[in-house]
Amino acid sequence: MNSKEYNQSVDLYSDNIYRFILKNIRDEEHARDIVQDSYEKLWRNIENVNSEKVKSYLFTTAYHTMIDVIRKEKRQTSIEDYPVAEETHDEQYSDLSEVLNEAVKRLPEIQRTVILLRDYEGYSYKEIGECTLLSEAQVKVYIYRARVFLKNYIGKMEVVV
Amino acid sequence: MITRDNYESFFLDYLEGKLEEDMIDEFLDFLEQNSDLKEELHLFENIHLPEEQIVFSGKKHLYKSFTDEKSALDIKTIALMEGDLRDEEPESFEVYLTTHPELQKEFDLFLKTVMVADIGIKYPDKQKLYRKSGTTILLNWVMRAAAVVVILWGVQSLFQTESITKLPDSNQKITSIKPKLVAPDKKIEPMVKSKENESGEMIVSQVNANYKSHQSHTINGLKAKPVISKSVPQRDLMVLEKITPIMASLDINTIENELAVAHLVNIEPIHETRKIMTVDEFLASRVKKAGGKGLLSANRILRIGLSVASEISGNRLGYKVINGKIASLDFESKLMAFSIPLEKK
Repeated sequence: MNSKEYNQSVDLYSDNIYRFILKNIRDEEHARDIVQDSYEKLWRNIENVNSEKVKSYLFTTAYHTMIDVIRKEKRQTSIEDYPVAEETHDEQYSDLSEVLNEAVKRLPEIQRTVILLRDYEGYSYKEIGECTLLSEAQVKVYIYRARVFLKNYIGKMEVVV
Repeated sequence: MITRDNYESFFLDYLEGKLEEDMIDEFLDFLEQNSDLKEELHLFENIHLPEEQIVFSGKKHLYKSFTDEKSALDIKTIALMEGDLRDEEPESFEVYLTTHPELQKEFDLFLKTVMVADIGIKYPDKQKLYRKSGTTILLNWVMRAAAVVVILWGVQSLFQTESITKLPDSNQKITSIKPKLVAPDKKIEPMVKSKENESGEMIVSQVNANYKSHQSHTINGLKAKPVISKSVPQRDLMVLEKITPIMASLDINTIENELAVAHLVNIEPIHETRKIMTVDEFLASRVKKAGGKGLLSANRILRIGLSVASEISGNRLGYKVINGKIASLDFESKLMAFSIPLEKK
């Protein structure tokens, strides 16, 4: 991989990675840092990364960096301060996407990751497994659970509305 | 060891063919010794329960389809959404849904869980991620170096121009000391006949001559050049004593006077350089000499250099362009701001 292909990867994937990370951690500053860090790592390993695998490399790197950041943040955040993921229906939603976004926030971390990779990037079970170090069967199970959770959340919201 | 107390289990094993081989001989000896139990064993051999053909007629009602499982609809729907159904499964599932409209709502809810990326979210610092090749970096540094050189040239030429414009002041000073050197009297003519040959004396005599010419206004134009005589006449001190001193004064410098003084201090070459070219003209002449035309104009190179310098300095350094030429350089910072005119007046 050369610098031209590297710059192309910036054009092609930086927005996608940023969206993926931002949806996961909902922190713009951290998301920016993670994207920059991922590309720094890519640049350092540019000679070892095949241009065809660069997207997978970037997402995998960004995902693991994000996990590190989340763990670090968790260590710094006391249990009392941590937001409790309970279903409340006080919010007013104007459309489905808002409801869905709210539901995605409430997903367990790993379920959120796999379903975002699936829906946003169209990754196969195998690709998601490579990125998250899960087996294909585990990926399937997490996607199934995430879809059921989202469906139930949307259903409840519609009933409330 | 087989006894009359435990023989039943051995009988059962024998009848089912499960009696161990090493027990068979012992079992047969036991039967020979107990003939009554041998008859009992033969009675067991004839007992067999008949096989009955009883069928449950309500079996159809017990069958369940996959949709009867609580999570079956979920599994099938998600499999359909993820493209995991094979062959004719998608079609059969859709047919099933049409025949069960009560499931349609659940199915629709599942379809709503598919998320679409918000392409409005863009990574804001993309410019920081781009990398430049070694050639580009080298060219950038060359451009920066060129810009610095051009700026230094410009500044240097400015100072040169300023020093030349200050010449009239020095001329005035020389004029003011004229009375100290030579008395402005026509009677000093004998001095010219002096035979001394010291350089200082020469200058004095020349200044005298110049002053004399200034007084009489007899020098014609710029071409007048005083001729330094090789033999400097010796001063007549007696004559000098009779000279009435004249107070020094700042005279209006005529062109002739300036020229005369300039000739005296041998600054004629500097007068010629009063026509010093601007940075633009200088670079243009260089490019012209080098045969460059069009694209590689001095003005363009200077502008590129200044633009790069402006970018490096964070827009602190700037320039103004009048009639296609760079008129002045501007510098602005928190501490100070100034403008250097470049155009020749």
